[in-house]
Amino acid sequence: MSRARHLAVPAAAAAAYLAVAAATPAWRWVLGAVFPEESRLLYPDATPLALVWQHLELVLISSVLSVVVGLALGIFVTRPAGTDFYGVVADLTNLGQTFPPVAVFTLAVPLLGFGLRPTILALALYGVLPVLRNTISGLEGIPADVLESASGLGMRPWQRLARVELPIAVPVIMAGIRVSVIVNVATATIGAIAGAGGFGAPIINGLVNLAPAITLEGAVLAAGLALTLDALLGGVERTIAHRERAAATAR
Amino acid sequence: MSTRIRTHRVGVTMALFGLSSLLLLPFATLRASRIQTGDPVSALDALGPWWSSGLVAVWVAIALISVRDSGGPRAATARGMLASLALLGTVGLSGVAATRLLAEAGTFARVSVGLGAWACIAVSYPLLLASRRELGTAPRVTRLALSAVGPVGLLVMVGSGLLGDLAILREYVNQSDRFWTEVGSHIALTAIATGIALAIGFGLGVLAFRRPRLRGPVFTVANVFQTIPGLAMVGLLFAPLSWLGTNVPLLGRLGVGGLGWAPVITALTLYALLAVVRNTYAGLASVPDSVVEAGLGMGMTEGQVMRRVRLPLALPVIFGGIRTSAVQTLGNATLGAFVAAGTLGLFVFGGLSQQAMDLVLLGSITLVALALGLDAALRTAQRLVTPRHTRRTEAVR
Repeated sequence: MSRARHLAVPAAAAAAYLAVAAATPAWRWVLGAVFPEESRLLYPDATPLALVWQHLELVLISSVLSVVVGLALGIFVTRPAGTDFYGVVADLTNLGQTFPPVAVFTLAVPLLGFGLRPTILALALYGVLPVLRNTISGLEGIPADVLESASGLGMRPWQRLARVELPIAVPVIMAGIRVSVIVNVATATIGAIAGAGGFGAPIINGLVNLAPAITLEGAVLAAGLALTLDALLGGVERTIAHRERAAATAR
Repeated sequence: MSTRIRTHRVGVTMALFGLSSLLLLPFATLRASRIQTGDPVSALDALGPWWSSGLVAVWVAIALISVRDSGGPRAATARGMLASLALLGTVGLSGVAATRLLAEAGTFARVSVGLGAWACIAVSYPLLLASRRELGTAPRVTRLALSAVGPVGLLVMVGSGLLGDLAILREYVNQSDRFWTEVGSHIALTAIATGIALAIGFGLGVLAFRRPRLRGPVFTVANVFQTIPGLAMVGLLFAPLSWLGTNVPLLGRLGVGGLGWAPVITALTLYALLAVVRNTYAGLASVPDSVVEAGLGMGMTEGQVMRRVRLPLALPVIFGGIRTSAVQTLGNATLGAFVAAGTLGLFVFGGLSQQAMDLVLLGSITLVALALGLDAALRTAQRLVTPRHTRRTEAVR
């Protein structure tokens, strides 16, 4: 029941967002009413819904990569086998907080090349940092007595990780994933300049050609996607935290 | 002092990574002209046998001293010095490689730093940081020397002209007039937006602290502003600011419009609000009740407690918020390039759309250097603000 409460509103918002994006004639009508003298109303190369899919493709693939790498690295450096590397990884995540996301992207493109795949890799590269940071702090925040009692129950290290450590750390990790995804949505809008498509394409097209309707189309879609994803991931975060708390009381 | 011999796994891993990047990946890229795709050149071809074996030797030395590591400060110092040598050696020899390769190539040819050299730089820097960390108890001078060696060495190499034949510096020479203008406007936009965000955000933070009912709405709004992508924010402001610029003559004369400084300053300010609001609120809320009660007990009014107890104690946390928002703003200011407001974004995004990679690098590296410098400066300022007030806390307690 609690799960439904935290996720119902964001899920409805996501459905509404997609429905609005799919209604191309409505976009033309509204933009026509706002800009009566403007003949260029919609981005000519893709419908609003197609832009959403392009952008989602960039964000989802890069975020999945970020989460997998960030989680794996975070787990590795908090295990006995990986403690030697803990310091280096911590240094890098600290450095990453100062590094502008845009710079990670623009430094990666000259090395990786143009187009969809390099853009995804560049986004994934920066996105690793928040996931990694939160995985480490989530796993480190677990009280020592909890770990000891898990080992006392005869759990092997990997069992302890899967059944005790990760479930307790998951709300913190989820918060890192949320930051990572939202930064990726923003950086992906700039990906248009490296030929990756997405919402950056209409925004930049409109700014360059002084076509305010086209810019507004891209900007509204981009802002909507960022807010929708933020709400959805926030809902997931709260659901998990809620369930964790319930489980803790049950224990 | 510990004399337990063990393998320094970070050192060995990094050395193997550096060595294989040097041997397997291109050390430099040679292009017939500035926008053509390049041909990879190996370290041996770019540097000749002597220089390339010198670089190999540095990595081998790092590997050797790391395999049997005494864990003492001497090993860490040696590794730090070798890592600096690898770092500066790779950069300096990229300059040497450029001079050598250009001597045989045409007039319009360009030589860029190759993937292998980038990888070597990317590995030696964390190694340098690691040895500085391991020397945590060593004399300040040693640690300071290890942090300064990178930036100082780089400045010396650029100043001496050693790197002058690299494409990125050729790009700089072409752009030198515009370059400093854009660096100036980048810094100006960042400073103005951070300043406005500081003024508004501080007020909102205090308000959220004083009026619990407003806390939720203030944070929600600040959070929405930070969630919306910067480019989308600039796009959302385009139509309304254009309208204001044309229909309100005074604003139009001030240069307000859909393009120019207005959308950038507005977007950057809105984006920077959250960090300031959050830290102002958190700083004020973190002041212990006992301290506040002591102040009230001494006969201070609520306002005096705020000014003389809460704010000074909250200052380090608030300062942390200013640092976060200033560094974020510096990165986001590149958006200025999309709305004719200049900034380093002009080189970064201009370079991307012309596929002139060295121009992209010129802008990005400058941006990163500015961000690291700003962060370090504000960190130092934050430290200077902190101890005195911490001492005061203890005195009050």
